[in-house]
Amino acid sequence: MMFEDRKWLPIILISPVNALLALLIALPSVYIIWLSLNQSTFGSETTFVGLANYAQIFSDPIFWRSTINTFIVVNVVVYTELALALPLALALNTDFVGKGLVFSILIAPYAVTEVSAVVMWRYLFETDIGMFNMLLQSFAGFQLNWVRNPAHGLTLISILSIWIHLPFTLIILYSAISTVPVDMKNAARVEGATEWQVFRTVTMRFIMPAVLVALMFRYIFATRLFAEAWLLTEGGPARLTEVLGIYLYRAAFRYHDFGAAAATGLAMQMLSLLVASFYLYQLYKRMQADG
Amino acid sequence: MDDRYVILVGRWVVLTLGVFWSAFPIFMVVSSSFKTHLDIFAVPPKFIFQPTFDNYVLLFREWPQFLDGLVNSMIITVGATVLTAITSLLAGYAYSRFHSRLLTLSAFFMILVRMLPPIVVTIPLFPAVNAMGLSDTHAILILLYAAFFVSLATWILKTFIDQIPRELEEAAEVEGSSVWQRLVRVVLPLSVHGMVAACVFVVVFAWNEYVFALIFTSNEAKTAPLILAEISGAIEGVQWGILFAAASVQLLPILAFVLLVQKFIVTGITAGAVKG
Amino acid sequence: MSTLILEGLSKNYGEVEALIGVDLNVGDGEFIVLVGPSGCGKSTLLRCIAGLEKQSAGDIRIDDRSITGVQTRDRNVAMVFQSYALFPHLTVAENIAFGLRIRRTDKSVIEERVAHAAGLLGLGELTGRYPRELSGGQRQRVAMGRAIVRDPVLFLFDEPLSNLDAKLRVQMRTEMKALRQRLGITSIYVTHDQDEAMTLADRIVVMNNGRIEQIGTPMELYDAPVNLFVAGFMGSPPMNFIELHRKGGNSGAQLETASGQPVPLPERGLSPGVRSVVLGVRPEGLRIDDGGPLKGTVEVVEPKGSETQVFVRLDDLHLLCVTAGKRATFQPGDPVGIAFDATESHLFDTDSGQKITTEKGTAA
Repeated sequence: MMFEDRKWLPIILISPVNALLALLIALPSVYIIWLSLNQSTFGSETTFVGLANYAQIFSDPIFWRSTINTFIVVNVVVYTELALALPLALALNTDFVGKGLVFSILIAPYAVTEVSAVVMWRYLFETDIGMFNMLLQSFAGFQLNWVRNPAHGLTLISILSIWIHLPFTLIILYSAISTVPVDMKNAARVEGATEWQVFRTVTMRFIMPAVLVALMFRYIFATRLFAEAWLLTEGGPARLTEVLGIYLYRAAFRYHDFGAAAATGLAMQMLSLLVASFYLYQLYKRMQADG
Repeated sequence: MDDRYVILVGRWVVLTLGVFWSAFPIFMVVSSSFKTHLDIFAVPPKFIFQPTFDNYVLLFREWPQFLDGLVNSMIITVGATVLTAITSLLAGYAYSRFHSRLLTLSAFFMILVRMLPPIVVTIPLFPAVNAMGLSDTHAILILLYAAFFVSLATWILKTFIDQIPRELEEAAEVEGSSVWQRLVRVVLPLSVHGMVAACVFVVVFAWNEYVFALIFTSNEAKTAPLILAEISGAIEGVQWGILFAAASVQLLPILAFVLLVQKFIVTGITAGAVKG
Repeated sequence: MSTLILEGLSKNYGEVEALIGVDLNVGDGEFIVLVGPSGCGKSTLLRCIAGLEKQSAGDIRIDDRSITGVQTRDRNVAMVFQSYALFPHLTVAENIAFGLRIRRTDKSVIEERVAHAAGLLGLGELTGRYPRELSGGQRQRVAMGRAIVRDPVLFLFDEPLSNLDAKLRVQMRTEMKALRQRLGITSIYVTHDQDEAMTLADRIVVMNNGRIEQIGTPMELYDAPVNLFVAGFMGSPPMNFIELHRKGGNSGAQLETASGQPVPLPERGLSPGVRSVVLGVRPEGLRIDDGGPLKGTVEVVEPKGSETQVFVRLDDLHLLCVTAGKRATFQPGDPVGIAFDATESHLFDTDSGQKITTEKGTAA
């Protein structure tokens, strides 16, 4: 009687959450398909224009520039994070005095808003007077000229993004590594494996699923890149450091071209879902199996 | 050299670099908020100096709206957290205790939706929010922040509720309680840790969020990060100190919170990454 | 004070039939023990009575009023769970008072009743503690306290002692018996332990594969099991079974074991068509007697203190347990004869397992 006889009860219980998701995310995400086929200034008073918005953005070199920038930054960010998080997670996988403090400091950037992160890194890389730029100048003979040089701008955007999101990747890898059975590693050592072989044959095999999950999540979240880039360069100079998020924001809220923004948005959605589809498929199969 | 020394040395090099990388930018900004404008860009940088609160005094004199922003952020954070906690507890309970095809589908729907980029929904939502008069209100940000975190929170709570033996609820039922009494008297008190793990993320997100606030508020409901960005955009040369003071004020409470609940963050990210 | 009637109660989970047409009448104040191997449906039956499961067919009546459509919380039954199901976030007193609080009972009444129940169960000192600070036996008592504090119409016990260690289990069993005599509330008690069943029950219900095999007082079940299952389930060490075949023609022919040892049994009651039967004799119904009809070899001797159990190998299939005197001096390998008392022996149909009623014969 308790769990089987009340078919209406679970529906009631899940409806608030599903209403929030449906009204604020799912419906808008579907409506955007319609919107991308219309011309509209503020999203209302639509005029059907067919594929004109797509023709417009696909023939816009800035759209392609944004796409390429996004592609580059996302890949640099995701793989650099992995390369940084893996040694950190391994180094943390032991008990030592002050571990809690070290861990706290490592995840501290998670608490920092993108706005403050931009302030912090601008301070360090301010032209001529920022501490890191001065160090670069004296040791490498150049500065990160992120205001004028698009490549440098994208570099700083990537650094910022890595800095903010490293804790997420670190936490996933750290949890995964801490579940590798010590017995299994010891067994490998007894068999004569060096620490490097233990890492490759035991630890790495064990945490591979977590690495893939971390990669997928970071790909999806990194594609959303907007605030760091917008606050740092606003896409400048000359829209050369724009990413898709900025392109969309500019189209909608600067040029009031909601049709083009919607078309861009749909492209971003497709990109995210493409990355997610493999994971979602696996998950769906598992949930079907679970009943 | 012995493997063990390589590992020991390697471990400390990696951790030292990691700590420096994570802490240095925060340290520089917070410590510089207590410096005079002459010391802020001093060469070489000053690590020992006479602290001053001038920047903080100036901040609240010149940017009184920053205080309003903090109040708005507080209201919106609390609102979004409460909304997320209540709705996710109900849904997490349902997903834990009931099984049906419909529930499986809706669980899948929740995860799918979480994959969609937030900035995209602003475009169709913008006219709708304006039409409903929700623009520049606390309510719209509360709803949006909750919407983007209910699926994670629901999954975290589901995994916690899965650990509560059904027999406890059966005992409560035999003792005469209805499903709502079971939720309030048994499930809720026993999933407090899950509630914290589930809410940590929405707290941090709501307090720090920039994009939705930028698009959906214009005046009354502006949040602290938005004002912070305005201060950042308005600074000229000597006003860095004010900006650092503002950043520190916005940062320190949430940083303290994150460090306090870091165990729950680890639990939550792990649970969320596995299932959604 | 109340009566409970189950009528044609069935429960299936999809294809699986957990209960099949269960009928049971429980009198006012009666203590019924449901016993059977795991998966026999006894817990399902209990959960149906509590309303935690909904029966697929049949009716449940308390005091002759059907409670089939009544929600668990309105049935006013009390239940003690195997895991005790104590609320970990509540103290002992709060756990005991849970049901009263839900019913918004007056505060002073709650205090008085909780104090009374705690006193009755020897929990007086512990009311402020949390379940995790209690021993297994104390937790069990708190679960009992929660059940007795609010005057339920029916007590339901789901293997309440099975999580305790052996010594504590015997002690709690005695306490339980004292308590039940004192409270006199109609109770249904599920266990897989037949000792517990024998000790506590007014009547025992033996279940197997979702059906009731037999209902009766402990001694009835022990002395007169209606089929092989009940005969084998009740009693420890269990009843010995010997398969016997009819030799030669019909009437007048002899019964003998697989290895050809003739067994003298009166067979007037046996219908002519029966080719083989199972003879059941409890260990105390057998005695070692060199003149006995069954010949075997001693295999294991287990002194139990008050008596000695001797295991005698009859043939490849049959190892018989015989209760011998306190100072029995048999050695493994000794050839012995076994005699049995026909009045304490039972005959069962090999195919159906049902008891075959014969006229009592004389001792062999």
